[in-house]
Amino acid sequence: MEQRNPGKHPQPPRREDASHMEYMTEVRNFAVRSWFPEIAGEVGEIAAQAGMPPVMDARQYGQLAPEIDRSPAVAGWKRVMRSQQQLAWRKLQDSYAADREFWEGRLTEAEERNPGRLHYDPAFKVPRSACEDIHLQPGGYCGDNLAGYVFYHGTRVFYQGDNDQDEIHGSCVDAMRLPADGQVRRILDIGCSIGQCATALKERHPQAEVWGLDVALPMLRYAHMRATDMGVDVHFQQGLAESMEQPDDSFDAVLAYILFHEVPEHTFEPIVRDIFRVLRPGGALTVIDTPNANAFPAANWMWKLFDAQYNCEPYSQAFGAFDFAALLGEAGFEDIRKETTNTFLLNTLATKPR
Amino acid sequence: MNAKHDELSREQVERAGLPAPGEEPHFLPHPVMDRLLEAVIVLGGELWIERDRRRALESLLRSKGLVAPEEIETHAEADSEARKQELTTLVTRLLDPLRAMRAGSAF
Repeated sequence: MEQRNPGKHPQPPRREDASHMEYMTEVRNFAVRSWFPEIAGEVGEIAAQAGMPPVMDARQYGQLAPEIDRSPAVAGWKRVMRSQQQLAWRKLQDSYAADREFWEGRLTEAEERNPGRLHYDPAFKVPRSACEDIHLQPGGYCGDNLAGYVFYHGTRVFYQGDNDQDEIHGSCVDAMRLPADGQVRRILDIGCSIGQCATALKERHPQAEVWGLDVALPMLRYAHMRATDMGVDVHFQQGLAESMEQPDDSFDAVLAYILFHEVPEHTFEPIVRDIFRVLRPGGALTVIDTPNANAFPAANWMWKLFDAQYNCEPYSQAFGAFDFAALLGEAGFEDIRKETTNTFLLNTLATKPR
Repeated sequence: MNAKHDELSREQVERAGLPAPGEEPHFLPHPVMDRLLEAVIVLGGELWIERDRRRALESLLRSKGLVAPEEIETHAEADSEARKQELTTLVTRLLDPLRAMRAGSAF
């Protein structure tokens, strides 16, 4: 019989958990790929009847939203999307928590086996904005020592199987801009989470020293254990992207993968300025994130607002309405370019002048 | 820095209109409908878990020549109490979402 293959990650604790994740992946698949296009059609008709353009800004959608929320299909879709997330997290978390000592022990054992690659200050204060239950994961990224385990399996549902071998992370790394002179000695992955891009970076650039930075220690501990088990040499550091403990001009390339839509708007500018500081002249920045154009079809707005309010991505709306490329220009970056690589992400590439 | 950060982030959270901690929003016309839909999703998950396990088990039994499929049809389990307890657990998990309804909430 075919067994599920989590690739570069361990199996969940029990076969029952694997079956449940497989089921939840199908539930999400149904809601997102099969049902949502029909809902988008209905929402588009509501918008057209109200005299709205096919693509609208946040203010226009705000006028339309009460009408759209009265649609039974929209209401049912929201319920399924939210319950799917909640039920998937709950089962995984319960399952890991049932043998908490064992799973925590694995993290500690990796730290003893591979010292000097996990950097953190026990006195570090995590900002409240990083303590939300992002994507409804109970305790978020910072509130449970086992958050990294739970996150990986939960995001398997989101990625619909595209991260079992870190496939999507590998494609992000391949899409990165590198310095024109070809010199890549140090690379930084900001908001590295469980280190899937960071290990992909090291595999693509074995000669480079790769650092992953994140605010959440439980995620970094899992990232470190995972990289250790894979035999991939990456440094993981806890810290804030707006005040990194890294020297000026010390990185050749920086990646920020789906970071900015999860952080408060007032941190965009300090984060961009600190990235500019740590990049060396001629160094390259790649930001891969949700589209930030403030002009979407009504159905996309409906989903965006659902994510913000009911999938606990409280800051994502602000990012969606923000002119991020303009901010990069104001910070001093040049040769700023936007590239759409798939249906839900936008790559913004920039270079620090020589 | 951190104090200001905290203050602003809280404000932004409130602006985004997140449900209060412990509050479960309802999208359908009555909260009962939300709970019932969730119960259906839970049931589907439990059903698939069992089917997946049974498929694995029957496949193993058949491949090892231990049990023929027709024997399963007529088998009576010795520990009927454990079986009953498992059923009780299933029903509890299935209907637990209904508990999220507030006592005394009117139709």
